[in-house]
Amino acid sequence: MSSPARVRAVKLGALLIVAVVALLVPVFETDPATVNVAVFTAMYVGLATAWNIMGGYTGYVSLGHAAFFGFGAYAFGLVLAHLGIQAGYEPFLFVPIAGALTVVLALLIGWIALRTRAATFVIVTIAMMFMIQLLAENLVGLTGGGSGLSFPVPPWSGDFFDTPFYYAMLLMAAISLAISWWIRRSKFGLGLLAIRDDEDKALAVGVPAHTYKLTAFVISAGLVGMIGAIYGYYVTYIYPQYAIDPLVGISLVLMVFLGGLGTLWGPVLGAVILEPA
Amino acid sequence: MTLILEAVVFGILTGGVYALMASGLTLIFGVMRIINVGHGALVILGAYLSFALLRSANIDPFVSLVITMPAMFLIGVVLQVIFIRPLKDDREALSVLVTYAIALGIEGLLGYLFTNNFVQLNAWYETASFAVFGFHIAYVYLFGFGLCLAVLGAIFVLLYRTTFGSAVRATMLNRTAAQLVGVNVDRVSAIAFGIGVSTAAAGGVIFGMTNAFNPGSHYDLISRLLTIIVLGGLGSLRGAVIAAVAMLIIEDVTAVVISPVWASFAFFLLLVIVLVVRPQGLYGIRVRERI
Repeated sequence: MSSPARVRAVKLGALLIVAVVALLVPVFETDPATVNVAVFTAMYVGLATAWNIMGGYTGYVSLGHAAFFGFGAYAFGLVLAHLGIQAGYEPFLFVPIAGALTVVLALLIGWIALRTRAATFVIVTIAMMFMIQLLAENLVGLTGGGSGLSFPVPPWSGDFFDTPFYYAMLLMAAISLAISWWIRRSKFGLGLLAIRDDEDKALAVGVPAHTYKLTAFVISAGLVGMIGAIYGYYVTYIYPQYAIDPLVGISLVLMVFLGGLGTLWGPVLGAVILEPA
Repeated sequence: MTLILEAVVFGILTGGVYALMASGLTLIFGVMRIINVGHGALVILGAYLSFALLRSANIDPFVSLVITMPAMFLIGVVLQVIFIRPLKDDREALSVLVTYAIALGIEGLLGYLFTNNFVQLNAWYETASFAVFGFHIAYVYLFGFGLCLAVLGAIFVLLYRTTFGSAVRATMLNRTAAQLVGVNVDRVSAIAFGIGVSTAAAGGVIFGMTNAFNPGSHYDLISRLLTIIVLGGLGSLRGAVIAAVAMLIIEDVTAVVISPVWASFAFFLLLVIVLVVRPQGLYGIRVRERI
């Protein structure tokens, strides 16, 4: 009865239904308050999935991902300001630049933080997050410090305002999921899972643990940074405590734990359950 | 030069307070292998308890410790039994989520009871000062430092000179083996958590007299305390004490030499430097277990 082909077909069908429903949300639901919830749900689906690439697959629990989220938002805002990009659809094209900048930061932080393991890693990521927050606050000339950073405000009407952001967040969630799915099936992903189960044994059988961990960390942070960039543009105004909010970092971890650590769909489930609630 | 000397003396005196708070945190980690993110909130809770006693019964903050430390001990034991004991697998990661929830609960409760306005514990010795080498030190720092030494000394005696202390250290070294030789690990854990929380109360009183605080103050506090215990080596009391004093000296000197806004940054920067050179912290042993 349940031949592999049949299971595959059912899975693909379910995926298709989820995708169609997700795509049609703004079409059927025109109430801005509801679409606003949908934007944040899509955002957390992406964040939780991206976090899971590091936290779930390798078992290294980072509580500092809020730093990359906020850094992405700041980097994006500064790129837009310095290039003089007009509000509208054009800024979305520059989101990958924010992602690339976050990747550079993540390389640096990851290199230091991944010298530690287990509980120490958790605490170091928290400390790093507060460091980035302090930098955002102290580099007044660059970030505006405590008075915050404004984004160009898109010229869309109130009814339509959330829709482009919803699709942008949905796209990021889909990209995160695709990457997560690909990693899970690849040799790289197998290496990550081996690190989670026993890092020393993984090293012994030839998994380049340090490179793998750092790669997973950087991919995860880059995706979170891009989502943070869209978030910054969506809320149009950020300041250090708001963009780099420890609560964001904790919430997405909670979602992954609720849905299922180290699984492909767990983070999605966790985010969809927790965020609208 | 006098300014720098003053900053160093100041760093040692305030470092004592952080050493006290961090030692409770590192003790809790050592015994239970949990990261108590709620520790900062418990410090603030301790400060508010003394604040309530001061406001309603006009009890001196230091004297109020006679009441608040046992009370906080009980709160700690209850929290441990309800929230920490049920955690079996993946303690380190799950404990962060659970204790963060405790922190948010305490923050919310304090916000409801005391509002979010900043308050400070007042006493005569808070403003009165004496002169040493040409600069003034408020009595509160000296009294606070004395209290820290007393409490830290009591913890060290308890851990290294009593049977209960042996049980605690055995649990820290190897939980399963301790259980096998007859240590009641659950009881030891609960009491150790209680001790950690009651030291938070003592730290809270001094913190509350030297800083204005509100229910949200715990974020800043916990990030520092966690940095200190990582720097000292997780689970090492000696490391926590030394790291706390070193961090606070560096922070205060940075504030004088460069600028107060970069003081906290220097604090975290020291952590980065130590991690690059010595990932296990000052007194730590390399972590070989999995999360």
